[in-house]
Amino acid sequence: MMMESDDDASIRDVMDFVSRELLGDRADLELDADTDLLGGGLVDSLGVMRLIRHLEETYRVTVPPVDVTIENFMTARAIAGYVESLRSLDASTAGR
Amino acid sequence: MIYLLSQLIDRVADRAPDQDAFRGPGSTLTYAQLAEQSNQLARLLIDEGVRRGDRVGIFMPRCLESALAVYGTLKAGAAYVPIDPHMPLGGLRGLIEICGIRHVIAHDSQARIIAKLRTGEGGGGFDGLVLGPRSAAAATPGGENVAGARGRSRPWSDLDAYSRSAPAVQMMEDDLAYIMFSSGSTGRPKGIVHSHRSGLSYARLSVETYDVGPEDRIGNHSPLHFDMSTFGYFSGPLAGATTLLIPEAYTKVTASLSQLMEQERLTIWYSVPLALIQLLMRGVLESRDLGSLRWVLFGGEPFARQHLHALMKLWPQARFSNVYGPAEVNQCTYFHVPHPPAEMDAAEDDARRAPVPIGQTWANTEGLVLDEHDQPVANGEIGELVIRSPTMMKGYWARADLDAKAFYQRADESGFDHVFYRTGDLVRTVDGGDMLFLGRKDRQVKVRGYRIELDDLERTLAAQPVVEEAAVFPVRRGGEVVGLEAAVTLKAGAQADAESLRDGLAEVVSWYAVPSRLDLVEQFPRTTSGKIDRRRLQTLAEERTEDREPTMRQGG
Repeated sequence: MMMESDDDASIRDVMDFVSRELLGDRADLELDADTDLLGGGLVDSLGVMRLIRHLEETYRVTVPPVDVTIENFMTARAIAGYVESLRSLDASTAGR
Repeated sequence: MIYLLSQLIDRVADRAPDQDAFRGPGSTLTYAQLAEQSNQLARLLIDEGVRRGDRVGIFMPRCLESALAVYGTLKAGAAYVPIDPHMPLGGLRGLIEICGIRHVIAHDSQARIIAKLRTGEGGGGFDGLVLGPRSAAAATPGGENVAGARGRSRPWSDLDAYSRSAPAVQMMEDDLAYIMFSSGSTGRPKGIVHSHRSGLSYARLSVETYDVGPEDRIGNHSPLHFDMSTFGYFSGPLAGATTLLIPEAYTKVTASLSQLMEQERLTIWYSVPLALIQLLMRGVLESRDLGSLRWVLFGGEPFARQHLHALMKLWPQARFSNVYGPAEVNQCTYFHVPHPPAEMDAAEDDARRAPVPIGQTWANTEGLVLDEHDQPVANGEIGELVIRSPTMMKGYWARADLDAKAFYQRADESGFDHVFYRTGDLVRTVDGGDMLFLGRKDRQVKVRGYRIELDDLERTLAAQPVVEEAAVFPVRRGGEVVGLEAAVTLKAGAQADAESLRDGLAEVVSWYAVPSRLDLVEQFPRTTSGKIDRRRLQTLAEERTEDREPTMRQGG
């Protein structure tokens, strides 16, 4: 059995948050790691801000406004990858 | 002579064929391409049975093809009906039925809901034509892989088979051009019908007022079903300018949006205040060069002074203008905001509280402020604004009952009738002749610029079989409406949970009209006259949300 990687876990966490908190668990929406969250009307601008707050609280990171871009927030996979990059940056700074 | 909206692009295509008409990030449509391809689309639509006066649905997100769809439809002699790309299935079926739509121009991203629309699920399936799939394989009902699907589809690639020259269609300026559905509720939707004449009058007046020229690059932030989109889609082409159709994704991630604005060297921006507030808060504007901006237009709802002034400081080279006008008249007044004078800092608190005026009527337009007996009020008194202008709609689609309430006829001294539109907005004229917007006569609210009739929404909610009574009310923070909440009582013995009631509403009304919270209550607070005390409900909700989310305000 393969262990779930940190990446997979955070992708799942983002998807859970989006479907639970932002979409109210609407059963008709099938969400996967590569669903376009921004272009398809699933998440609005206030939703993006709630998501950022969630990321900041859960992963103890700071999301600067300049990072709130299409590349970083388009899909659950992109968001998880972005958060991972923030954390490794933090870890490398802390190790110094 | 230009008397049709569809002529706008052909005129530029003759003079400056290679000028960009519409742009998206990394894509472009020149005036020549737009003219030729919209001719092909018009021919396809005519081939598929579209006739003068028909209504064609445009069910697309903001994209270059949406511009093609608009002009192709108009050239076929039909009126376009923009449909919110996120409209739920119930609302979509309702619009198609009410407008008698037999042709829909769609986008690949809408394939799933189109497939549902095709089947009889929850009503008769749509058996008209859908133009949209990119590939021929997806164009047949079988290709959509849905059992029992009806109707047929044609891919965009079919356009190639048609001539690039304009089809001969006899039309007049009085013909229908577009129908905008304004209320988020589908109980009895309100379709605002504009003619080529009213649309073109708006384009002319806005180009004149903001001195738009071929050098201009307009940022269109509004979706097609939002009336503010007519500036980018029509005023831009009238001026021979270039319009950037900002895709939806960019409207949510402001760092990308401000980057796009900079790259595209926009000269004119037009949006609801909320979009500008978000740019101010999170758009990293300090690191973007937006020196190309010469006009910042905002409208749809009031703009809080402190945010407006902060933006004016950031973009000192730009002029700012408050655009006012219900979708029924496109636009009717403007107020060019003076750059905050230095002494304003001293009196800042007062200045912050003062609303930005909606200003004065623009050219070729008459505004009267009337009391409840339709008599003009004394100067400085509060009254309802009524407007007479060539930019005014023809009326509401198939709603003679609403027309009767909305139009006000008044004979002039020679005995000729003049027709005014009753805005329902309460205004007051202050020194210098500028008007202030003070509120609504009815229970219409705006959430993020979208108009919502609360009475309609309550009726839709109360139409669910288990519901006894329903109240929907706005929640304000810092004087601005930030969302809606609802409370309902159930019929005796009925069982339901709040979530399912909210879901039921979300199936028939647009996303922006779905209350963020719905509570089941035993009984409502009542006023002394026995009515539901909505003000009390609102106050309770506002107290609760302030406790819970004190940081929300930051986002506007």
